[in-house]
Amino acid sequence: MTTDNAIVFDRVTKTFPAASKPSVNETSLTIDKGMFVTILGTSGSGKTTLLKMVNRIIEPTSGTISVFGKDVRALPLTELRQSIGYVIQQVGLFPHMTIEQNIATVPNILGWDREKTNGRIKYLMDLVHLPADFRQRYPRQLSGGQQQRVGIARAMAGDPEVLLMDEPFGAIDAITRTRLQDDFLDIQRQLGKTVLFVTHDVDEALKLGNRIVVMNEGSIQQFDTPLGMVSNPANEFVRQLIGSDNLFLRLQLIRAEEKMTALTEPARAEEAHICTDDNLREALQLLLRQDARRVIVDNAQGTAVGQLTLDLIKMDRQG
Amino acid sequence: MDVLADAYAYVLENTDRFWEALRVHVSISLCALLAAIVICVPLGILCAKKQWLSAPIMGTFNSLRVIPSLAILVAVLPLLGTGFAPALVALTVLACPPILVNTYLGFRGVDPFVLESASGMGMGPNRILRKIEFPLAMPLILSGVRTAAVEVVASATLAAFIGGGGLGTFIINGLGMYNYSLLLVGAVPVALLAIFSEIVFAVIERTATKFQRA
Repeated sequence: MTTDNAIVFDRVTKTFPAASKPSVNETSLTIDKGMFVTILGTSGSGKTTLLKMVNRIIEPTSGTISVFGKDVRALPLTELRQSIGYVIQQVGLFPHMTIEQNIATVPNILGWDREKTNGRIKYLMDLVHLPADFRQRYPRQLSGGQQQRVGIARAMAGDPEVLLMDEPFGAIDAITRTRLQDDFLDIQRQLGKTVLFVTHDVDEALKLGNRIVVMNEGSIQQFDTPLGMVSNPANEFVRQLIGSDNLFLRLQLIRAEEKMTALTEPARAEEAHICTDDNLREALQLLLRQDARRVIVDNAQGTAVGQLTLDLIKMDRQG
Repeated sequence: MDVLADAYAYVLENTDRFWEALRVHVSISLCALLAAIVICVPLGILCAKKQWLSAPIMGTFNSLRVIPSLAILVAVLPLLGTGFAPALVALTVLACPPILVNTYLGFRGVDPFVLESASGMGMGPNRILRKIEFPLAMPLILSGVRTAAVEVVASATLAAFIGGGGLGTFIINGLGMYNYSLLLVGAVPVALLAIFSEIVFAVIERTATKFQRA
């Protein structure tokens, strides 16, 4: 077993006492280091149970789970959990502690000196876009979105390689949620942490994950990339859940850069422009709205590097 | 006002007796309160953690609460005789219920998600108890102690009935001799003590709940 495998589930089953059916049934799954895996399913699908067995909030009935090649039962419980970030929907900040004390939870357990802890708090608050003068505030003085930013900072304080997140943005209003998703996606790309992220929101799962696990009745239905999930749903359940019939959904998952062709004639400023990172759905929208023949694709520096036409977007239906 | 002036004069003439009575009153109250805290805070935590224990333990202490203070004082007489010890036992029994109930409620009231995130981050049970549960339950525990303190200070007066001493001695003697100024020598300091303890605990409670008002 190589250490490239961040988390490995090996025939893991969990049956709760007095339950007739297992919540998670004989599930095997291998997650590589640096993957952002969203676990998608309806309530009762076993997605949260799957997540919480990694840090042993829930103990599996049978099977083994290993993190970086090590059985999670090999370490003392507290040590295991100190090395895995954990974020829950209800946030669970300590109300009697200031923001900095909350973030310092794991550093304090690990016995870091004050200077190192202080530096870490400063770095993390910056990372999650919290103003420095929040350090001395108490959780109840913060909004729900800000509290979850603290929750993420607190979970990352000990610099864990793996982050477990149980519907972290589920209780947050739509506008704030979008911002949190974007910011967290940035953080994950920047730091390359391995993330297991439970959600029941299809859009969230497709937007955040570079792999998606769809669960139903305790079993994994499909483990695939967002595009793979939309293009080739493994069964009727996945097709229904993801909404694979929705063409816009597919266009949304393909970046402009992947489909663009070389410019046939120099770009003019008055033409419609999008970014390489924008998706085909945005390109299509511009084409339709401006009744244009093509959309110019600009790189991050604002230089035109390609173009998209309706024919190119259409071609994606076959390919 | 004459009665008050007479009472004051009595205190000045019998400073030794007055201070001794006050000392006994305060020490018996404090001892009873401390004993009750030592017994009931751990018991309250135990009840909160082991649900099946809570009904028998809380039931026992609550039934003790129904018995009037004087009855408890008299009931321990045949067992422990007269003096400081039986008075202390009786007052401790009296101080227990509010502390026990509030400790239990304080620990039960800690948000389960706060506990989940604490243990999810790798805090051990002892650390959670010290750093999370105690501070969060503290406001309720303190208000239980505050209730108990006032009750104990007032009831310590009755200790004099079984030879426990304290400010109650003046009250009993004053009543027996129809000497109202003597009665006030006991009654006024007891009232002031009760108010004083109320204020002290109010201040402590405020510091313990600073985070709720920030």
